[in-house]
Amino acid sequence: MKTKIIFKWFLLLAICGLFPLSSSLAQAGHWYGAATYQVSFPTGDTKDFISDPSWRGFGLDFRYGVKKDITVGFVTGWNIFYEQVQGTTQLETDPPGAITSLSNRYINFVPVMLNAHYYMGERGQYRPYIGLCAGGYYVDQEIQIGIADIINDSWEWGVAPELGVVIPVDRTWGIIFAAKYNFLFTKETVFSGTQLEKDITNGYWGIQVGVAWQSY
Amino acid sequence: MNKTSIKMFLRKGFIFLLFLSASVIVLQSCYPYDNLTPEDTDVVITFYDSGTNFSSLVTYALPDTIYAFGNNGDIVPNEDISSSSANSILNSIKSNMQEMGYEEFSGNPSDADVLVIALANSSSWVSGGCYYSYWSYWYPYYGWCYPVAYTYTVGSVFIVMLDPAKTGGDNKAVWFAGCNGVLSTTNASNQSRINSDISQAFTQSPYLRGSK
Repeated sequence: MKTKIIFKWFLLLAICGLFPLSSSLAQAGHWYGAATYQVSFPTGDTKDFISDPSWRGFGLDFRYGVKKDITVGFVTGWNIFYEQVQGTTQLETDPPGAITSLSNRYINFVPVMLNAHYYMGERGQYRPYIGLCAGGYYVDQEIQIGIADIINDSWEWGVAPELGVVIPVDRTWGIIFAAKYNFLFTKETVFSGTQLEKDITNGYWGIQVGVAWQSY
Repeated sequence: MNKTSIKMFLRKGFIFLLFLSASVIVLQSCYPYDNLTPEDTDVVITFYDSGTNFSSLVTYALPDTIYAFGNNGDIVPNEDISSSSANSILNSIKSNMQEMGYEEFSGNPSDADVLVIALANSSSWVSGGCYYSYWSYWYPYYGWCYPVAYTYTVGSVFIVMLDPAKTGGDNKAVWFAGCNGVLSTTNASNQSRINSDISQAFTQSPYLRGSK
């Protein structure tokens, strides 16, 4: 239900931003925008902490055409991962042990990145593209166990290769689909000073759907 | 870029900001909020000495007193705990020790293979927070709230298994269990949770059984 509400908000506000535009992405000297709803799937150490996919996420993308078929720009967004886990965790500490509890786990990713994209196809047609984002992520990782709430926030560097397609709807806007793998290569020590201290490398897949438009 | 383009761009920028603000608020309102019950706060943690051969430990002595941590960190008899709660804790430990293959030793405790001590403590906590009304969402993220304070009591039960042959600083625990949670308003519920948590402490420590 809440996901539907987010999606409705997203579409409503994104469509409100569509003013007279020209139709095709990647013309030199023009700004482009994209607003997307995102579903994300954790991988690696992120999946070890939270295995459930994230249904809460959005992205904002701004691109500037520097050459025919090439844009550069920046991207931001917000992805919330959450999982409630009940179970026993073995503690590889000295002395060794185990802990049983209900835990609420969260990770918030807020990417702030530069990007570059190359578009294939012709104006007015489907425009598949490939791209690469590089920059930083604000990461807020949290675990609630019993009455304890342990929060770890950090800034991590990463890259995100991207594959997508823009489908023109009319002269003014189009639908955008994309898949992006977010790889945060900064190894981060989380929950320092606790029994849960661990070095992790975060990563997740983001599947995006939204609208794209172009300025005059 | 001409004037019309600039106006269009600014207009879109405004829409973007509006969109961003709305998304932040919507996502925040969808942030998974946890309405924890007292039971949800229960935590059972155990540690053990990996150098101990638990197979060789068969008999145990359990004093019929529940202890507590004193103001100076000393271990003193707990005079606040009710006899029913104390008996419930001791009986739960005994039944789980028996389940693990241990035999209660009735002689001099220092002659038993292990000495088991139970401790119980409670403490009151005050925590602050924010209450958000519908109107709060007219304000930016975390911009407005009514401050509220919560008071709750946390109860803890500790079980320590010691080697009675060692004394003083050498008296290292061979097994430690801590059960912790926010107390509910009914004693029956709290006692049930304590028994359940003590059983969980033994369940997650299968090495206690050894080859017994």
